[in-house]
Amino acid sequence: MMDTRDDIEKVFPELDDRDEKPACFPDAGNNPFSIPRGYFDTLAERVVQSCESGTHSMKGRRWSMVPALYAAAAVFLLGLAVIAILLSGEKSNNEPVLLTQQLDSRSKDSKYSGSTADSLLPAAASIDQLISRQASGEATAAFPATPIKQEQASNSHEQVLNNISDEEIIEFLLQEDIDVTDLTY
Amino acid sequence: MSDEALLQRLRDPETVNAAFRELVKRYQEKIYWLVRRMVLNHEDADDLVQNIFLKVYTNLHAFKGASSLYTWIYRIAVNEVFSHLKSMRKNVFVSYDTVSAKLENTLRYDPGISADLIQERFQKAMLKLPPKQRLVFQMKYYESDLTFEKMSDILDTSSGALKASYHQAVKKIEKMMLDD
Repeated sequence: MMDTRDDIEKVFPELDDRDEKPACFPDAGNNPFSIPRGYFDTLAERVVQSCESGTHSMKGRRWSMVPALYAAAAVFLLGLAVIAILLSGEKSNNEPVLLTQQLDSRSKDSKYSGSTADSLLPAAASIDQLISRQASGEATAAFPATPIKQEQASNSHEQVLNNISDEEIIEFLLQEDIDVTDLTY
Repeated sequence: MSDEALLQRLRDPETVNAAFRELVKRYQEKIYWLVRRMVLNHEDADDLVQNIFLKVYTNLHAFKGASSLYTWIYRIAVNEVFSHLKSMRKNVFVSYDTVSAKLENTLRYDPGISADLIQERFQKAMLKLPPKQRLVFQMKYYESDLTFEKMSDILDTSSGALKASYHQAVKKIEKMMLDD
């Protein structure tokens, strides 16, 4: 395989001297292209004028850039859309699910309708209130000894809930004078 | 006036405009025909020639004389022609065959081109060549004073590769004309 310059030079040294115009080729002086009369007489002047004023625009080039600009804009918008989707997903994952919301949805469910879920709603509201106070780092009289790290507090509602023992919740409910007689499940 | 003397005048702010006019007059026909044979249409060629000389004018300060003035202007012209042919593809997924088809239409319908049967076959066959090979063939075929060594400087390709390219182009065109 000849692919180096030297190899090509070795094979074609004589081509400069060889008559490389087959008989079927037209004469090189036979020009099929015509130009407007006096074109070259005025070309230099027009070129100099456009150079001095810098007005000759590359009109073809400018239009040829349009598809590239569209493509760049499309990529940019696609990138924005992907970022927006990712951010919204992250936000919904971090959003705490309140006990009251969980119980409310359960009470709407026919399986739980009229069950203990309904009766637990007021208690759950109080627990939610407590948890949100804990999450914001606010010390409460009811749970002065329950340490919750700041990063945990900033996490989800469920994580905070996991750090509170059942006994502490019952004690809080008693202190707050919340009816716990229906807490059966 | 030699190119060196012309270059001296181009570098002098007092004589630059007159010298540039002289430069355009000196090279306008060679550049125009180089471009016209590649793009076929006069309006496109005229537009490109003006762009080429505008580039020469705006980049005169950057010309350090590493190559001759003639080689430098030709190189700008060649780059401009290839950019134009690329822009004719609209995007990278369009092949040069589409460009050839467009040029063939120009060849057929442009009132500025009047070819007899042999000339028409010859022009059509040339359009079938890849753009760079077509340029090499046309430069050598039409500009008898242009040696492979000079072309090597302009196209930044070895003269051996250019000879091979030209030789292959001759064979291809001959075959296409005889088969047609």
